[in-house]
Amino acid sequence: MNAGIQGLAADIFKVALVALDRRLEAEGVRSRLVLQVHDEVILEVPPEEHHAMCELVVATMAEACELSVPLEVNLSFGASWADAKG
Amino acid sequence: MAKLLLLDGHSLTYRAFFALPTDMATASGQVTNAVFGFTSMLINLLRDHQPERIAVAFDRPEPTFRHERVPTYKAQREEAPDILRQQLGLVRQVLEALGIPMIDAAGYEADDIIATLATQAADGGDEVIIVTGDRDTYQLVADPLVKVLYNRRGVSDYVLYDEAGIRERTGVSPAEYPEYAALRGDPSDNLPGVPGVGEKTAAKLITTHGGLDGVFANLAALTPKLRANLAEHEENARRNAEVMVLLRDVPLDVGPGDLARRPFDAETVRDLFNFLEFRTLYQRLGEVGADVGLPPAEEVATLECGVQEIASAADATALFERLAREPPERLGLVARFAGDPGRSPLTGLALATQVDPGQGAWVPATLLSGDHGASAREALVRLLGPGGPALLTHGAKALLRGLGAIGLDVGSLDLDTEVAGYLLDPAESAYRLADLLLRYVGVGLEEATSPAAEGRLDLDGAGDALPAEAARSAVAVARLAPALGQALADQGLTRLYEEVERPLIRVLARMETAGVGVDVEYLRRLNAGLVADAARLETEIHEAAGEVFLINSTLQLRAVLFDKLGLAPNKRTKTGFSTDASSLEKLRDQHPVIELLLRYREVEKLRSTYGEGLIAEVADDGRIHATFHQTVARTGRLSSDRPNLHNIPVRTEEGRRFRRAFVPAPGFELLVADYNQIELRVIAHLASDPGLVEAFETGRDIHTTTAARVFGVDDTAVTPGQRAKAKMVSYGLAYGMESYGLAQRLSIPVAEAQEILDAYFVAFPRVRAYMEATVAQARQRGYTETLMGRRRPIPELSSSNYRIRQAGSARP
Repeated sequence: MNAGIQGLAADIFKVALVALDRRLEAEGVRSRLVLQVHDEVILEVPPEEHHAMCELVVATMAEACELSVPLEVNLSFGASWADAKG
Repeated sequence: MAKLLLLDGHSLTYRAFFALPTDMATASGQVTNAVFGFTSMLINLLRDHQPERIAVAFDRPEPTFRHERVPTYKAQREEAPDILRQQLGLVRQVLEALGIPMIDAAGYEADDIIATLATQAADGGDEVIIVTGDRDTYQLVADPLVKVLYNRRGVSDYVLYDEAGIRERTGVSPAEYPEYAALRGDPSDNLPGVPGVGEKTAAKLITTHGGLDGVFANLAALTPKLRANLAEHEENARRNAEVMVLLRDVPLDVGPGDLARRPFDAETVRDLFNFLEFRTLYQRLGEVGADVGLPPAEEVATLECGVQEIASAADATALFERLAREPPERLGLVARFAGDPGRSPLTGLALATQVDPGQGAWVPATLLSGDHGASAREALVRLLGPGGPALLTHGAKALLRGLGAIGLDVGSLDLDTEVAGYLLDPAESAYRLADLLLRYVGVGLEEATSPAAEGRLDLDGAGDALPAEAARSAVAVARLAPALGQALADQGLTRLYEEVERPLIRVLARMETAGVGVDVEYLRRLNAGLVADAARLETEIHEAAGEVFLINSTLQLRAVLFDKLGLAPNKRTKTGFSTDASSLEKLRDQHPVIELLLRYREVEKLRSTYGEGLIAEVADDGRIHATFHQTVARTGRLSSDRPNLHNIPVRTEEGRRFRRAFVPAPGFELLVADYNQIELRVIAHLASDPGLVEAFETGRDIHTTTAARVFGVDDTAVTPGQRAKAKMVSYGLAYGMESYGLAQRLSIPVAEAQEILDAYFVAFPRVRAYMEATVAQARQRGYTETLMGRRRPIPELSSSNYRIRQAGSARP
């Protein structure tokens, strides 16, 4: 009986995707969403936006939903998906 | 030789009752879930088996010889709920109306009647299929004439057993079944078996010793514990065996020859189905009309629509400008593509210019391209841009991707009927416009007869069907959207749709269009490496086997493994000995070729799925543009295909090798972000368990904290093994794993897994309370609901049945 758990996790992730895209568009940055897999989002980021994106992505995802426990976001950069993710 | 279908009326009605939600009811409040499910099963059976003869057997309230022999027989059974008992009467009415013989006999169970009729029919050379959810009938199976179509659960999950099937399922022959079941026991009839004897042990005992007499004559050969249990419970087991044998000589007024369907009064059928509000089921009777002799069902009104084909860019511009200036009541718009929707060039757009009577316009994509299409494109941008009339469509993501490819954005999307259909019922396998229109509006949509039906360009010359078909669809969307909007509101899904799913459509479309960079050279090298690995393994396999053969041919592989090398097979399939991975795994110790075969299969899978598979999906721009699916997973999660990125292994070295192929555009870097332990945090939140919440708030390692509580030790004393078990339990809960699954994953006995789970629930009592509350709520409502109102029907019904069920509550 895990539908409620899976469903809420899915909802949070979807809210985060929508919020991320909205903020990227509003800020007029060159960074863009290129992939989503499981609970993972992948962006293409130009070097000059590196720091700004760290903050924007972590904050947007962490604020996607207010739970009674904090949402924690892992974030990394790399020259390939494997590089960043390990 | 005639075919006789024998149904267990009680067993199947119970299955239907527990499979379908009890909020299915007529306008007057009559609950219909069980009678609906039963009738639906019946129609499927008539359609699929076309029996010449059929009968439905029912239990009677009087006690049977089994109650006399075993006073506690079925004593644990609670009285059926009222809403189920009433429906048994309705089931009989449906059968009566359809002219299907019903049989019961005081002092006998439905099973005994079935056993009697099946035996008589088979003696007369007729074919018999027994349809039931009761395992006792396994004993009746007899090749080649008598089979059991066993209802595993719900209304559509069936398996057909012949003798080999029974043997594979139970390990014993049909004749041995009662004695086997006597040892194992049958909790559903309150017949306890011998302690410590499960299905496997029971089957082994019976087959080794040739039955109960043999077992009890050879107790000395058994382990002391088993011997003691058997000796102590011998009387019980022998008594079970007695009552588990079905009677084949029940005195009945009828024989198999009397079981032809009787003629019936079409008007009675119509009135009854009207009363039950089984509109679509009534139509389905028409589908099998030739067999049940029904008059053709009432015709469903089909959507009528005129079409105006726009022939010049100027006319297209004028049309778009007029629609922007004086928008129709509802702007339905659909796109058509040369191939896969969204992934191939747009061939045109159809717009609903008038909803009822339907009128649509078809604009070929050629009018929107190049210099001559510039003004039409601009007019379309104004029509579809922010502030334009509310846009209704079916499959918005493909539309957005198609328009994006010609430089157009959409800012006024209101309702996507496909996504709305998914939110309303995530259990469907597809959300076709025609199905949704029939279900929610009660109007048929004529299928296109040309390939345009699949949104494909028609190349065989019947191309004039496309504009008309597309225009009809645009009008259908405009007709359907208000009904779906209302249904979303009724189910409290409007906010989820407007704030999450609808904006997500555009995000996904943009992500698909952007695509992700791929290092094609690297991917080619990776693929070449896999090809070389496969070739090397192939040679080694041939050497080990001592001959050259086609490894991918099951027939040749079987011949090599079992005939030539003489390996001892362990599992039979319908066509021969199994050579699937799990069967080969068990042969590992018998011959070195097995290890090579397993590695070969693995390499081949990687090569086809990720090597060649990924290379094939690289577009001209050097990037992979997957398709993301928003309407597939029942949980509400997203999935993807072309390629399916979700099944690249997450934690293995192989997965890492493939993820290396995904790279940023030159001059960029990739940012990867994900949530840490999202499922566990969600559990902590939903259950409001203070222990879990505290663990997350203090930022301590959650698995260590969990392990400390579950195993009752200090945080600092938790061993890595305990932490690993705690972690597995936590994720097991999130993914619905029970003690059995947990035991498999941790390679520990089921009992130990259960102990760990129990300890977990003692440590985090609110989690147990939450799980129990969820189950209770799902039972009562027939679905679960997330915090944001997303619903998921429980249990998972087959799409066709669920669609029909909803058709009953269609609104105009």
